[in-house]
Amino acid sequence: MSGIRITNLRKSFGDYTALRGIDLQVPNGTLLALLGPSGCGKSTTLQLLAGFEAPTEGEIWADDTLLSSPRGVLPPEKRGISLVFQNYAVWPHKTVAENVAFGLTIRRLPKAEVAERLTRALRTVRLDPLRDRYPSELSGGQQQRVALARALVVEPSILLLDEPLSNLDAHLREEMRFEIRQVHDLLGITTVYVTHDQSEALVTADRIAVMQSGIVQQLGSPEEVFERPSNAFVAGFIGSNNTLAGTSEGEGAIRVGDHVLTAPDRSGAAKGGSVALCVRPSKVRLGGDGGLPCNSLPGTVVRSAYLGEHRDVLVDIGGDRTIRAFVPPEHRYGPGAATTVHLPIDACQILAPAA
Amino acid sequence: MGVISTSSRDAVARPVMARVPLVKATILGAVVLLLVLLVVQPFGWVLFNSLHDDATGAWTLNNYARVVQSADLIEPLVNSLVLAAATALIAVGIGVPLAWLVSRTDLPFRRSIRVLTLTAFVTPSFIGATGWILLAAPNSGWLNTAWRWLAGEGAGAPLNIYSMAGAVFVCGIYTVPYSFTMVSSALDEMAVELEDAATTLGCGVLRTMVSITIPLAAPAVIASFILSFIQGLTLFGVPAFLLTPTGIPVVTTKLAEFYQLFPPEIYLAAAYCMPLLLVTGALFWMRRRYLGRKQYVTISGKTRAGRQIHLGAWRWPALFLALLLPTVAVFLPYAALLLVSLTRAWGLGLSWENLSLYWYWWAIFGNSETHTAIVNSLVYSTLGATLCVALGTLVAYIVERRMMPGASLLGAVATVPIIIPGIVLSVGFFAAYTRAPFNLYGTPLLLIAAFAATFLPIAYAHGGSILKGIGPELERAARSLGAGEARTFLAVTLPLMGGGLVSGWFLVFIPIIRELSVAVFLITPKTNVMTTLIYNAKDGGNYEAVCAMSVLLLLITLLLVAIARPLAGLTGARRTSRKTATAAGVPS
Amino acid sequence: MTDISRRGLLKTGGLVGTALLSGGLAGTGFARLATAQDDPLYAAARKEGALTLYWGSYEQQTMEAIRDAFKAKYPGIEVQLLRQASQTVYTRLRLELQNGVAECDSLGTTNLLHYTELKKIGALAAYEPPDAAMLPAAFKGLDKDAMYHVGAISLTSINYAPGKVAAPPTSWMALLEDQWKGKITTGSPAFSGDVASWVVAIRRKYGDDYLRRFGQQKPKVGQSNVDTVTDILAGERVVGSGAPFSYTLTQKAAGNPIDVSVPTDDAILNLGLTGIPAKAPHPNAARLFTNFLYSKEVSDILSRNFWPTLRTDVAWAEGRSLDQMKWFRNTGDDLAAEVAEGIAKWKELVR
Repeated sequence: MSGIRITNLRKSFGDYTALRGIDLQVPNGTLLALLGPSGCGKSTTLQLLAGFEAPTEGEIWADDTLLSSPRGVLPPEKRGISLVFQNYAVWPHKTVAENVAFGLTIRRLPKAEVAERLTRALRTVRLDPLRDRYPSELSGGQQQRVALARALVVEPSILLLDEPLSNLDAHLREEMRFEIRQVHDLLGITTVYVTHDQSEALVTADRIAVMQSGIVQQLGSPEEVFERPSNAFVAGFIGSNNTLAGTSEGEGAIRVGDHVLTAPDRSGAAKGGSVALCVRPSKVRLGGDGGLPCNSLPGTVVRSAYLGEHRDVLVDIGGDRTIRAFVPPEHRYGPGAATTVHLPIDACQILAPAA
Repeated sequence: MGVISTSSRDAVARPVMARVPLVKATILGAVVLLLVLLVVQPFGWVLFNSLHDDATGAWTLNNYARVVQSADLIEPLVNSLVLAAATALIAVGIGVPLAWLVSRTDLPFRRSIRVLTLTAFVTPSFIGATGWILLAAPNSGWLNTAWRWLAGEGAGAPLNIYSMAGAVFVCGIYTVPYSFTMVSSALDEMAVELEDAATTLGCGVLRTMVSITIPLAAPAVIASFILSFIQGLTLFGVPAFLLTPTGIPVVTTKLAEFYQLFPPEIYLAAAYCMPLLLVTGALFWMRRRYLGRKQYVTISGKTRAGRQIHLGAWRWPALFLALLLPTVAVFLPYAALLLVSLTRAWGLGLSWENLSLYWYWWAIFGNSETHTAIVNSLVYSTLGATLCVALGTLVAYIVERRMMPGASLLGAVATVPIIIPGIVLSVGFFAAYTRAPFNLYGTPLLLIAAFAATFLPIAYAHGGSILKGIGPELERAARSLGAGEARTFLAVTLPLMGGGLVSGWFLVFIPIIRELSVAVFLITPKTNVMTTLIYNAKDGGNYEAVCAMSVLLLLITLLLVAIARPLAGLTGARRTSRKTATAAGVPS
Repeated sequence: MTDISRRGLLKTGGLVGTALLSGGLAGTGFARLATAQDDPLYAAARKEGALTLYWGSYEQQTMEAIRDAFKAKYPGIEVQLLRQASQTVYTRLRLELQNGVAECDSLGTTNLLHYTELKKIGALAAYEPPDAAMLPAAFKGLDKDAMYHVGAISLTSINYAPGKVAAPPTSWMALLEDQWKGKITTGSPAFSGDVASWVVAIRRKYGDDYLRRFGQQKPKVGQSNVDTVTDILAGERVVGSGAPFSYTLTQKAAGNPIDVSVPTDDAILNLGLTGIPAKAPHPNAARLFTNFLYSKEVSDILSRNFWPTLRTDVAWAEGRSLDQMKWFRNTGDDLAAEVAEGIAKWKELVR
C-alpha cells in the first residue's frame, strides 16, 4: 500500500489542455473520490495515475517511487495499480475464472496458490458458481463484480475505479456503493474513485477532490466540501444550490442587482470584486418573517413541484434571477403568487465565483 | 463483498523509471525495417523510375508533364475513376446487406453463402470476365441465345458484356467478397444491444440495419469501399477483355500498352500510376475526416450474448436475394467454364462425342510444369499471406494504439502498394529485391516478399477495422494487472481479433493465389505459379485448358477453405460456454 | 482416354517421335543420341550443365515439345524454360541487364527491334549456327554480325467459321465488302505485335484509307490476335482479320470449326528472332540450343504444330509451304516509328 502524491500535474492533447496543474495528496489507505462533470479532467488524471498517458508537466509519486514525469513513465504493468473500468472491460474470450486468474498467472505464482486465491476471490464476490461462464452469459452486475475481483485478487497497492457504477441500474448502484466502501474498509487499499455522482462520492470517500476545467477546485472531507465549499462551482456541484452572482460591498456584503445582502464571507474579494452568494434550497424559507436573521427579498412564484418529501418552488426575484426553495409539502404555492424569500444569513455564504 | 486477501503484497517502491522495453523496441524496429524493405524500397524505385526518361535514363519531369497534358492519357484516368467508383458502389451495395443477412439473421444456408462468396473471391478477374463473355457476348452469349430462343430470333441481344456497364458489373460482383468479408467480420463481433428495438419484422428490422447496425460497422464499410475502389482502379483482366473491344481505355490497359510499345515506356508507366495514388490518398483523407469524429468500439468490456434477428416470413425472399450474387458470380460463369473445360474442342459445341476429361488430365498429369506451379502457388500464398497478415496486423496495432511517434505514417506506407497496378509494382520489386544485398532473384522468397508487400494494405485495413472494434480498455485492464505490451497483445488482443484474423488471412491468401501481374517479371522457370500458366494457356488461345485449370484452381482453394473453416469457428471472440448457455440467469 | 488430341500426342510423343525419326534417318548427323565424345560443343555445354530459355515465340505446348526434344537429345543439361509474351520477356531481360543479373541463355521473341536494340548496347553475343544453312534462303544471314537469327516464322492471315461462311474473303481488300460489316473480329495493334505488323503492312499497301474503311466495318477489337479464334469459335463473329495462321490450323486440327484463308494480296510474314545474351551464364549450352533450333527434330515438331518449319527439307503440315502463298514482310530501318504511327492511326480511324 502506498500513498499518492501528485504535484503540478499538467496534460495537454495538442491544443487542448485537459489538466492545468493539479496537486493532490492521497494518504496511504484512504479513499479519494475525484468528482466533477464530464470533461473536468478526472478521467485524464486516472489515466495518468494508471500510467497509460505521460504527463506534459508535473510528477506522480507512490510513496517515494516516482511513477510519472514528463521524462518518463513507469509502464502500467509495473505499478502495482489495479484499475476497474467504467464498462468493466471483462474479456469476452475468457471465462469468469480465467478473467480473475489472469493477473495471478502473469505473476507466475504456484498453481496451488493461484487456485486458492482465485477461489477465495470468486467466493467473496459470490461468483464461484459461475466460474466457467463466459461474460456474455453474465448480468451487468455480475460482470462488474468480475472486474472488481480481477482487480483486487492481485493485491494491488493502489486501486483505481473509473465510474465503476455508472452502467448499473439505480438499485444495484446504491447497493454497490456500500460494498465498495466495505471492501475498502476491510483491505485498506489506497483507492482513487472517479465519479460524476456527488452522492456516490459522499457515501464512499474519505476525501473528495472536486474538479472543474482541469483544476482541483477543492480537496477536503465530504463534510468540508458540502458545508464549506471553496467557491460557487463546488457549492453548485455538490448538492442543490442557489447562486446569486454580484459584486462585493466590502467583507460580508454582496450587491445583487438592487439588493445588498449580508452573509459570512469566504471569498477573500476586495470591494467591487465579483463574488457570489450561495445558499442551499433546503435552507430557503418562503412567506412570513422567516424567523431567523435573514436576507429577505420580494418575489413571484414561477413554478412549484410536489416531490413527496418536500415541495420544490422556483421564485423570480427580479433582474432575471431566480431562487429555488425546498419547503414543507403542505405549503402550497400557485404560479404567479407573490411571496417573500428569506435567506437565513447563517445559511448563506459569500464565495468566489466559479473558477 | 468480503475479504479478498490482505497477505503479502509486492512493494511498489522501485527507483527506476521505465525506458521503452527491449521487446517492444525490437518489435517496433522489426516492423519499421520490414516496411522499409518490403514497401518503401520498391515504391521508391517506382517513384525513381517515374522521374527518369525511358530513352535516355536522365532525370526528367517530362513523364508527369505528358500525363497531365495529353488528352490521350487523361481519358483513361477518367474512365478508370468511373469504373472504380461504380465498382465500389456495387461492392458495398451488395456486400454490406449480404454480410448483414449472413452475420445477423437466421437466413437459411448462411454457411453455404459464405463459402460461395469466397468462391467468387477465388476467381481471377480475367477468368470471371471469360465466363461472362461466354454468357453475355451480344451474338454468341448463352444468355442472349436463350433469350432469342424464348423471344424469337429478332429479339436482339438484351445483354452486351462488351460495355462499361458490363465491365462495372463483372468488376463489381468479383469485388463484393472484399466488402462482404470485412463487414461480416465486423458484424460478427458487434454487440446487439443497440439492435434490440428491432423485434418485429419489416420496416423495424430494415431500419435498424440501415440506421444503427451498418453505421456502427462504418469503419469496415468504409475500408471495404476504399479497397473495392482501388480494386476497380487496378484490375487489368476485366477491362482488357471487356472494354478493349469497345475502345474504352482505362489506366491499366493503357499501362499494358506502354509495356507493349517498343521501346517499352516503363518509366512513363510509373508516372502514370501517381494520379491513382493521389485519388486514393484523397479517399483515405476523407475516411479520416469522417471516422475521426466518432468513436467505434463494438467489443467493449461490457458484453451481451450475440443474437440473431428472426426474419420470419422474409427468410425465403431474403435467401433469394442472397443467392443472386453466388448465381451471377459463381454458378453461371463457372457453369460456362465447366462446360468448355469438358469439351474436347469447345468450338464444336455440346455433344456427347465432344465430351471429355482430357483437359483435366492434361492439366494435372500431362503438363510437367503444372505440378511445380500448383505446389509453388500454394506454398507462396500460404507463406505470403501469413507474413502479410502478421505484418499488417502489427502495423494496424501500432497505428490504432499510437504506439510510436509517426505511427500514422507507418499506416500510410502500408497502404501504398495495392494502389500501384501490379505490372508497375513488379518492376519496382525487381529493382528492389534482385540487387545486392538481397539477390533474391530466382528464389521463392522474392515472390513471397512481393506478394506479402502487394497485399499488405488489405491485411492492414482489415486488421485496423477489427482493432477499431476492440475497446482499448480491454488491453489496459491486462496492463494494469501486470501484463506487458507483448503479453497483452498475445493474451487479449490477438484472441479477440480471432476469427477476424482468419478471415483476414483468406482475404490475403486468395488474392495472392490468383494474382498475376505482380508476378510477371518475378517468376522464373523454377518459381512459376498457377496463374502464369493459366495466362499462358489463354495467351496461346487454349480455352479448354484455361477453363480446366481455373476450375482446378477454384477446387483447390475451396478445399483449403473447407479445411480452414473449423479453425475460424474455434476462434470467435464472443464465446459462450456450451454447458451453461441456456442456464438460468443469462440475460437476453 | 480415347480422344487424345494432337496436343496430347505431341506431349507424350516428343521423345518417341524423336526416337522413331532417329531410327529412320540414321546417318544424317543428328540421327543418334548425341554423345559428348564426338561433339565438343555438347561436351562444353554439358560441363555447364544448365540452360535457361526466355522465349515468347511459339506457344507453351510447342515450346515445351522443343525443350523436351532438346533434353532427350542432350542428356545432362538441365533446361529451364520461361515462356511469356515476347514483350514481357524482352522487358524482363532489360530489367536484368539494368540490375546486373544474368540468367538468360537464349532469347526468343517476335520483334526484330529487340535485337537491333540489344545489339546496339552490346548485349548480344555472336554465333553462327552451322545447321542454319538449311533455312529458306530469304531468312538466312539476317544479321551480318551473326548476333541474331530466325527463331520462328509467323504468318498472319484471315480465318473464318466454315459452317457459317459460304465463301470466305480471299483478300484483305475483300474484308471491306459490305457483307462482312459487323462480322469481323481482330486484335489490337497496341497489344499484339502481329496485328501491329499487319497494320504497318496494310498501310504500306493501301494507305490509311484502308484503315478508315476497315473501321467502318465495325470490327470487334480484342487484345491478342488469338482472340479472333475465340470469337469465331464462340460464334461472336464469323471472320477474323490479322489472324494467326498456325494457331488457327491447330484449332482446326483439334476438331474446332475454323479454317484459314490465305489472302491473295499477301499473307503478312513476321519473323521471330533468337539471340544469345553477351553475359549468358551458359554460353555453350546456348549455342547448342540455337543450333538445335535448325535441326530436323525441331522442324518436325513445328510441322506437327502447324508452324512454318525452319528447314527447307521439312514440309509444313497439310503439305503447305511458303512457296505456295504470296507473302509480304515489313522491312526497313525505321520500323519502330512506323509501328507507333500505325497504332496512332488505328486509334484515330478504327477504334
